[in-house]
Amino acid sequence: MIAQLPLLSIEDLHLDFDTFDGALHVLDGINIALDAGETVGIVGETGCGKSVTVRSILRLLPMPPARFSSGAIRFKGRDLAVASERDMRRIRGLEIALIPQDPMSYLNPVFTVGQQLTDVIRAHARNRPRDKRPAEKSAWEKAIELLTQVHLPHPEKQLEAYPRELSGGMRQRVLIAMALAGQPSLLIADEPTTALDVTIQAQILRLIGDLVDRLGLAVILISHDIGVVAKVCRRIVVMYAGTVVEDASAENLFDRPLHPYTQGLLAAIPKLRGDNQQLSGIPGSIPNLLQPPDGCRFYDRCPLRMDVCRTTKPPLVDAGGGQRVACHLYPGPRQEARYG
Amino acid sequence: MNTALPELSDTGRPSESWRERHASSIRQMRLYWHTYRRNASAMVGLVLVAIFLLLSLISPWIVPYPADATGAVHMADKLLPPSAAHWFGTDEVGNDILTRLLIGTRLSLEIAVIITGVATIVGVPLGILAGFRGGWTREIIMRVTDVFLSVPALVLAIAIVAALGIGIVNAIIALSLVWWPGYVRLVESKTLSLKGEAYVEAARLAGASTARILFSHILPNCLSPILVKASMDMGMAILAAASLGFIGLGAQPPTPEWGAMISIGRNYLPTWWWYATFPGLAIYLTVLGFNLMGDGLRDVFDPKSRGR
Amino acid sequence: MALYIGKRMAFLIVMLVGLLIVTFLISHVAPGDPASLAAGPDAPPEMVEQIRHEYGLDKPLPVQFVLYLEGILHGQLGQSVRTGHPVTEDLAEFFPATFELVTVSMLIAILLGIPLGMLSAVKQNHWFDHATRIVSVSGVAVPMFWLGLMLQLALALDLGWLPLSGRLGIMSAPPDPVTHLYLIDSLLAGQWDVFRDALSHIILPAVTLCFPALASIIRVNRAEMIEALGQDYIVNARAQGIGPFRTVAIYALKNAFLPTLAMIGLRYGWMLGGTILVESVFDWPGIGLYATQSAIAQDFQPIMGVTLLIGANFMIANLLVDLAYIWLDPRTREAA
Repeated sequence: MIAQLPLLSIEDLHLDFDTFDGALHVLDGINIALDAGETVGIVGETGCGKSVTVRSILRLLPMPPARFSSGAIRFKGRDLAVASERDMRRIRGLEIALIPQDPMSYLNPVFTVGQQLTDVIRAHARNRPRDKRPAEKSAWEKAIELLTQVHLPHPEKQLEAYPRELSGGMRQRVLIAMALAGQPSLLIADEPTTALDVTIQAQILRLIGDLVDRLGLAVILISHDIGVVAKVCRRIVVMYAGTVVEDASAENLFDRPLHPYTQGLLAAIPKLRGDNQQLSGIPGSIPNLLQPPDGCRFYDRCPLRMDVCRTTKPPLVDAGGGQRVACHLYPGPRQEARYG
Repeated sequence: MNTALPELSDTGRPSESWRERHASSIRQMRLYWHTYRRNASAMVGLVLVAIFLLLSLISPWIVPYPADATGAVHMADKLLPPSAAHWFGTDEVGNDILTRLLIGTRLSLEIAVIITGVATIVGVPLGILAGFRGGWTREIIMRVTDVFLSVPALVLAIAIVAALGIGIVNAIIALSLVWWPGYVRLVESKTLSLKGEAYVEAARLAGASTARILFSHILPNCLSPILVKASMDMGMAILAAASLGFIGLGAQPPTPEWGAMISIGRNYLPTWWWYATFPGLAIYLTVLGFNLMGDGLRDVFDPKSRGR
Repeated sequence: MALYIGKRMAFLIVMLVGLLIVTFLISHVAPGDPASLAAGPDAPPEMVEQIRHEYGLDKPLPVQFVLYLEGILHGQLGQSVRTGHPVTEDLAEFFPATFELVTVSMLIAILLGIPLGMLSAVKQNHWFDHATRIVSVSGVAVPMFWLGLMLQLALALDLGWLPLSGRLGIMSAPPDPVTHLYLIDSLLAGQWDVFRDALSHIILPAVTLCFPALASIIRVNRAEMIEALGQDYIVNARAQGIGPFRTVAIYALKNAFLPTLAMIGLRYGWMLGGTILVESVFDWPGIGLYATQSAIAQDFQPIMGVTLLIGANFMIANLLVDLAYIWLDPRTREAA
């Protein structure tokens, strides 16, 4: 049986940032794939490259100084890394949509919500390939529909409001509505709840989960908070310093974390019960991306490191049960786990 | 036991040398200079200003035709085009234009210093007073300032000169009167924002007198925008004085003021074009220098405005 | 909102009164006998005394001020010794020329400045950016009157492409006065040749006058656009598929426009001052030239009149900018 092509497949992606002091090797061989309708979370500490990865998918990074030094980003078979800007405009919003992080700064303060939302709707109508243009419905009506979908009360009133007149949670819903406007097949949520209160966080996550179920969307959810990701995603990818270190189902990840970094992350979560003597952290800091180490990037901070870890990069291998890990502790089959 | 203990002053602290006490200020200055040096256009400005200052200092000794500086007349040489003997040509009474330009440098510097000096000396204290005191003091000062600023500077200056009488002295007085409100506005808004800073509050709670707060806390923090504005104003003052000279309200011939020279040179266009051209170039380069320098200073003091 | 406009208008009136006080002080308190100033330098002593009595200049100062205010309210700005007309008449005659010149100049500055600023922001550090930066720094430093002379030298005298001075050539008669703005009136009357003539005459002075404003507008717009383009909402617009033109020209520009507008208002004031110089160079029959000639002739009343007129003009322009701010920026609207 032929395995179905994944919706999105990031293949050995290397991304560099050219700076005054040299090239920063930000992404060092990222391998992530997801199928249609799948929910994947990406976690990792600040600076690990999770945001950079997803923005590369949409080519939102300024391309100089950012540069793909090798690898591919295949979406429905096409390599987005080399697609033209015009083609990317057909993808953004229409096939892949972004829900950004801080709803206040991502909405233009001098235009009303309605103006911005209808603008996006109209842009999509223009960019859509001719054969897929839907039946004519006014942008305004469509905007109201979208706001209703994200459970925003009194949508007609909200459309006339300026972003600053809305609460944080409402603004985030507007951004979600905007993301849905083009009927994408893949949603990328970049820390969608970081700027919100905990109670609102729960609501937004529930909304995203709801939309996933109803619309059959694939979702990539990024957060530095594993708890957030676990609520929505079936699968979790752990990133560290520009590399994927572990990739497993949520259950497996929590039950048996394989990579020492994952173990450290989970151990660092304070527990509600039991005796809390000390908060455990992971000592050390991320490596210098200008001159990254030849071996495993986690070497300096790893409690289980070995000599081979210093000299050779551990490949991402299949460790059984659909769980992949990049660590010399788990040699696994010699080739890298890849689809297709 | 051959280590000598450092001297103790009354406060119990070892007395430091001047350099040590001011180490952080010195380092700050060096950082400023380093940042400034990297800015190409700012350095161009600095060079232009330096040349201007140098020329104004040594001009009486380097002019090729010293007699012409005081208006000697020799009609035989009148209106000669630029040549090796007269780099910028001669004017209608035979004077070497380069000579007159060089002497004019000194005059322009005087003008710039006086106008900018008066404006800062009057405007800055008023601005600090207005910002700090608030209430009626502020209202009165700001309203008067607003009225002055509601008329374009040149227009008001012309009105004042017309009342006082034509001449370079009155032109300088008029321009000084017109210039100080700009500083009031600048300093007042800066003082207002500084007033709310935590360290000012702390100083007040510690019992510092108003004078001390103003001198030690408020004034030093106002210095950078004042310096930037003053630097640009040196150039703009020269430009304004030249404008008045051009209209005929400022310096009167035979004073070698650049604007006045252009107003006469105008009558000799186009055939004897050099008369009007070179003084204008002098004004342009001088003002450009001060502007670039002011821009550079602004970038040094406020890195957020880099990219402007 | 209406309350804010009301407050602003009241403020305007207060400013105008303040300006009247200033002009009054200049003309009455300055050294120099106001009566002989008003009479002109060549007046015989009896006439000076007569004027002193007529204008109530022998009365105490506050009374004089009240008389002065009364006079203003009745449209009395004094008499010009040089032209022999009431100042108000002279101003009415010469103002349209200045208004036309300043308006055309401002339009050039805005229509060129904003796109150039935008382009520089988008193409930062490109050669285009450096070129416009040289223009914008020079623009403020170049003496306007000298620039005018140089342009005259190059384009009018040497190359003969454009006329040297004046509003119209000798051969053309001014169009029927409707607005007193030659460009508009000639169009209204369908007189194409007059229109072309007026246009060719206004080009050099308008370009000269617009230079500093153009320079400042480019600088401010460029800086504000750079700031706006760095904002997150621009990233979002791109992410949602909005095209580059719209992103820059609408999303970013609307945010950058307000500080640019403030600069435009400020520069309008400078332009009103600069017109004095430009009108002098190009013999443009506006209030600037009027003021200059009066100043040289030591004819005092007209200068006061011009000062008041320009001051009021500038204040109104600032009011309009403030109102535009409210209209365009929801944040200011709330504060109002």
